[in-house]
Amino acid sequence: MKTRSILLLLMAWLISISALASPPDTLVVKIMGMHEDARFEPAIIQVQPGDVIRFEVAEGLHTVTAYHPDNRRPLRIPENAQSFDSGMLTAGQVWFLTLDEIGVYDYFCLPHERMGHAGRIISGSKKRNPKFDDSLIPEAVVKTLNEATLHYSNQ
Amino acid sequence: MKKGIIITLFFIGMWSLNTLAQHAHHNHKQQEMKAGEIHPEHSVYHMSAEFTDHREAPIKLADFKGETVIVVMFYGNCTEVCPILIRDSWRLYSAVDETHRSQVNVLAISFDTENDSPKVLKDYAEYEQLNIPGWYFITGKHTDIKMLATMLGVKYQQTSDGHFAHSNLVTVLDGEGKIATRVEGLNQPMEEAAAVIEAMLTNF
Repeated sequence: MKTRSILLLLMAWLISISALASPPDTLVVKIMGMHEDARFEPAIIQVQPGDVIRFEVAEGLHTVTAYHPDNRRPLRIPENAQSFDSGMLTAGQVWFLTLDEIGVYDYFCLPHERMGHAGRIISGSKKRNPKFDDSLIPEAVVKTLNEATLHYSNQ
Repeated sequence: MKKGIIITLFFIGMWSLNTLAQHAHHNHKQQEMKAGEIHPEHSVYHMSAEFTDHREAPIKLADFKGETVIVVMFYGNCTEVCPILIRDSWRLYSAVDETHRSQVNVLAISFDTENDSPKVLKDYAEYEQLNIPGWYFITGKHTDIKMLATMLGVKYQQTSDGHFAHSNLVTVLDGEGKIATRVEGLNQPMEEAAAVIEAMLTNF
């Protein structure tokens, strides 16, 4: 009886350890379209810090570039977070991103930014609202993010 | 009879696939043209043409004599590679040691003489946060732009949709206006070109 209890406790401990040690999730964002039709799908995703985001280019030529002064753009990612820029990506290529800081990260595609090709990653809490100055980015990007936020909120 | 229809359909199918493949190939070619030959001993500073920068100031290439210049040709409405070309030019500029960077000029020359007015280029430069000292977004007469492009080995051709097929080239000019090095293609490593610039600046 005692042995069985110990075994059960041991199993429970092993299960909890393995759950804690499980690898971070990998989420996929597809990069679709060309020119005016270029888009990230989904445009908004929620992740946990440490999760891996896999960007897959289906067609065209794109970048995944953070709104950050390093990329000559206004800051629209958490202050302590590192900037990112995939460089040029072409059809069939994939690029991985991991975010360690909690907060909202806005990013864009360099060739198609003015057409609204942009996306948002929410790292951590879903309820966080970004306080970014929309007047500093193209109207088409604001529209994309607003529409995606609406769609995301209704899910 | 049935066999004949099948054979006919087969050939129509093959013809369609071939046409589609050619179309796709053609579109790809529209986006990028291989850089042309250059004569390393020719100086672009021999061009007497006057251009205009995004600050509405008149500019002659010979104004940069004795200085190091990065040249990139692009157009503002480009929705494919030009933003990356501009970023590549920035990467090369940034790869130069900060203490030397103020001695480097960057000429971003538009071949869309119809749409890229100095005002449009100024907006472009401001949005790209490149309305900074040493950076010049330039327009000019079509014939002068074409002549300069030929000297730099930049090929471009307007397409039916108003866009341009063009070479993707970042060029470094020495103090005499001769081509010191070229970086062809997008997203290329810039260390070698930066080393060429550093060497030139050290020798000045």
